[in-house]
Amino acid sequence: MGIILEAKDLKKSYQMGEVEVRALRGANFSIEEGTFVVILGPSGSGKSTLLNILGGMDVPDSGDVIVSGQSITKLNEKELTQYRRTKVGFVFQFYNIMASLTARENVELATEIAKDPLDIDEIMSAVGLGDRAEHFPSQMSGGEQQRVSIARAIAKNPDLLLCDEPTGALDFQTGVTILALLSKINREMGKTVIVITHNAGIAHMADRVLRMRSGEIVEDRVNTTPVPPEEITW
Amino acid sequence: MNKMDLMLWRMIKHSKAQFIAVLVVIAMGIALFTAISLAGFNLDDSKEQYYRENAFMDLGVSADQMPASLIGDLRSMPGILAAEGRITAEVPFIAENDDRVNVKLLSMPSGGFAVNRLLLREGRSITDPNSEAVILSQFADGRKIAVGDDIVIQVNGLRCSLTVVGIAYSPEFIYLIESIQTMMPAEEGYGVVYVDETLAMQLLGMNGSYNEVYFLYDLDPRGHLRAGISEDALIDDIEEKVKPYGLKASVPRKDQLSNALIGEEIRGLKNMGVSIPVLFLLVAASVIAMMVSRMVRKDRTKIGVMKAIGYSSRAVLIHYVKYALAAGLIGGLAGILLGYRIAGYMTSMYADFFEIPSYGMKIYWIFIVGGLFLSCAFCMAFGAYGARSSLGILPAESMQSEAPREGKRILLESLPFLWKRLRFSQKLVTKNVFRNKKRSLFVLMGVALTFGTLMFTMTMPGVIDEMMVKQYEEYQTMDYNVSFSGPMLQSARRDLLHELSGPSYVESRIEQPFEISIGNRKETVVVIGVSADSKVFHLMDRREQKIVPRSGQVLITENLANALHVAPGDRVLVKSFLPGEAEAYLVIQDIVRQTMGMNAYMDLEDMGDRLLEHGAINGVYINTEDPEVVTKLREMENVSTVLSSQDMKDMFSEYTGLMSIMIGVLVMLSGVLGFSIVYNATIVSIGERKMEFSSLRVMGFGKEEIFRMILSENILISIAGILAGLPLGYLMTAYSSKAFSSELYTLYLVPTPAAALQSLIYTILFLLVAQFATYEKIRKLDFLQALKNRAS
Repeated sequence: MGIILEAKDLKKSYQMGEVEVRALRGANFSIEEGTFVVILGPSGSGKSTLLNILGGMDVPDSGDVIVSGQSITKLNEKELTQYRRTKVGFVFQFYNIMASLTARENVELATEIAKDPLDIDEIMSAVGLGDRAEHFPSQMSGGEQQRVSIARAIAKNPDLLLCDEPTGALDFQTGVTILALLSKINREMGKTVIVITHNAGIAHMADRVLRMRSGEIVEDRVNTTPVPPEEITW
Repeated sequence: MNKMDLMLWRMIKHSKAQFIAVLVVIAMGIALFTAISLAGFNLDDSKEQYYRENAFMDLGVSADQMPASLIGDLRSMPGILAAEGRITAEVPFIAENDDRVNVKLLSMPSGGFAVNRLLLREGRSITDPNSEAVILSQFADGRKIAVGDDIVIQVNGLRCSLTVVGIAYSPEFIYLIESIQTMMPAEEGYGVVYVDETLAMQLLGMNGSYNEVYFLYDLDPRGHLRAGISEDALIDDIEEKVKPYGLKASVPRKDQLSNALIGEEIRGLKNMGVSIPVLFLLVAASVIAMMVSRMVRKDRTKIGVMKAIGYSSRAVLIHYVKYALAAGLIGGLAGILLGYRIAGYMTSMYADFFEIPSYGMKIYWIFIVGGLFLSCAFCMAFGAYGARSSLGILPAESMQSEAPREGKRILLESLPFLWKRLRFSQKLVTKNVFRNKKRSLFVLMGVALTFGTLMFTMTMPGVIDEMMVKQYEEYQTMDYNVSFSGPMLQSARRDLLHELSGPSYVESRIEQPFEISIGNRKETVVVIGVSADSKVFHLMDRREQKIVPRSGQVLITENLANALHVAPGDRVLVKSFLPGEAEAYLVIQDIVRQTMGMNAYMDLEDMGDRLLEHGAINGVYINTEDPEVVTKLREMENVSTVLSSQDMKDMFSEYTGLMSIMIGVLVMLSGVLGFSIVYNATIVSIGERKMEFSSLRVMGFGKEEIFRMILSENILISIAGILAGLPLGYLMTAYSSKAFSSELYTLYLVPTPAAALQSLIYTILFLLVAQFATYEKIRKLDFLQALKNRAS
């Protein structure tokens, strides 16, 4: 398996009111294609900043990110938009799906701009929303909304799936089903999945765990015995 | 439909009341633009076609007596296609009840006119030259004269009875008024009677000669004289030939009274077709800009998500611009359809008023396409302006909740003597208003625009009354303006006074047309000689201070100053039309305020000395309680015309019927506009505050308490908005004063306290309805849903 993503000495600071926050203080790691990675860390450890940079939504002050052999830190806004459009899919903690579109239409919103999208019906069935496709977000539970969000992310057929606390707004049982879905996408579709969370329990299902603290990677370990999502607890 | 457009469509559907409110404003603006422009151009077309079909004159020349041979000479001049002599005189028309009005007696060649042809409405042309007449349509209608009726005119003291055989329209008298001072047409007060040329010559003692000659030019298709000379040169040549026969005046088509007046009307209409709709569109577009800007703010996370998915900033901007474009397109189309219908009514109303035969409604695609383009362009430009902040939204930042705004003390808190007096709830309201400056400003601008627009519109209805009151109760206070048939000695004033019974006042005056010029700019206006101690003329300068004309100087009206581009201190040449009369260079003393007409004023004695004869006058102003005054005056041999101020006021009131339709439409539109702005501003504001209200509800605030708080905030902002609307209203009014003023009248539009009060009442009314909508929204607010729903 080749390297899909490489982060080299990433540094990022930003101003919050009168305080300068050093969110990343030199993060270094590389991720192999097709792995399920969990980036673990307490709130304020810099994991969201890291995810935003990996996803081309933010740029580092210094350092480099190389995705499929191409550096993304020097890309201009237009190229970054293209990168987000083709290479990555996002899953957010609060789903962030469009209230005025049905589940299916939310997915179509993404496929319309994708170069090589997946079949929408297959995706809807894969995320378990085959019979809820025509429902609006207001008619769905949190778990269902998160499934729409995942379907929207993978429908573009990206190489990387970036998930920001995907179970953060869900109850335990629903959270587990969402994790199972992400795991299935990783295994069956071969997508590289990066989940950031403060929930240490989730780390048990990962192939690889990166632990962050104060803007640095303090632990980088390979989990040789990942457990199925259904067996983890928190 | 792609999903972005689908979202747009559902967004519109979701906020349809707001969208419709915006559409209505745009549709109104475009309807006005289409209606007024189409009416203006169609009226212009009808007029031109009417002129073409009936050989309307290119030039008219009047003189004392011109022999038929001269007319033949003039006809053969290069550049002339036709020249026709005629005899005309102002004579009394005697009605059955012995009521007298003036009519213009005009000679008609036996074969009919070659220039200024008549268009017979009913009856036939004259066959018996000794006893038949054709009369002008307006006069026939005003006096209810039918074909077959007998009429009586008095020529040189002799009564002459004529049978009306035809009623006709004439391109020369579309706008029929006795003189420029009358301003408004009065159908029964002045008319035109056509008699055979031989009868006219016989009655007026003009054997074989004429006192007017009318010309048609020989023009190429581009409207240039075929002879290759300029119109001015041709007129000079003609004047040279006519001079020995007592040249009085030469009037080219553009200065012909009826044509000039109708031209002014159409010009005014066309101007209005631009200025008022642009005002409406600007307001509508501002509302769109405000709405889109608030929408972008509300959709911050949604925009972030779209960008995260891979949509470019441009695609996001276009998404919001499309909302504005949709409003522009739908509103524009609706406006054009509505405007086209209104244009039909307006054109036929104006054509009726001016008695121009209707030639049907022509569609000018330029206005249809132009209207649509205008509406789309305005909406897109302002929509893009409102949505510009979407470009700067970074996807990563937008996902996080917005950092709380920097907490600062508001200005009022630094005034402890005031701040301490406020109750806690009042402090909360004040802080809310000042801390959300943009939102407060949005509502404030809405209220200011509403109040300003209303104030401008409410000022309009008073304008005509105001013009009349100013002119006839402040600037001029004579009951009658009497013209003599020629210059007379001052003693004529005393003779006339003797004839009147009861308390009477008679004041000498000179009124004569002169050409006033500076450089190559010139205007022909009536110059009025006024006594230094005049009791009927109250000339005012621009600061409304009384002013008296000084010897060697001339006072001019504001519109004349504008036309000539002159200011006090400049020297102008005042030149008479009468041959052999002196001309004089005079310094402009000052600009006088006058609502109607374009005039110049001189000291009576000085004017006589310089421009007439020493001690001469050509008329008087009369104030009298003598009930028989008009009859007495009409019977006097040397009196040619009698104009009463009351008649003029009455005529004016009739004319206001036409204006009031226009004003009524404007008032209604401002109402719609006002309501739309206030409603939108309020609804957008509530939409943004759902979370805030929900949090308050969770804390234990009741719906009524929240509403009271919002109401207090809105009252505070509305007061500020109304205060800001005052200068805005003044600016809008000043702009319209300029747009509507013309050579014939000058508008001094100043919003009156009554207009301000009316606007206040309407604004409050709209605000109340909008508050009701606010209350309904708060009442229906599902606060738990609002708090947990995180869908974008």
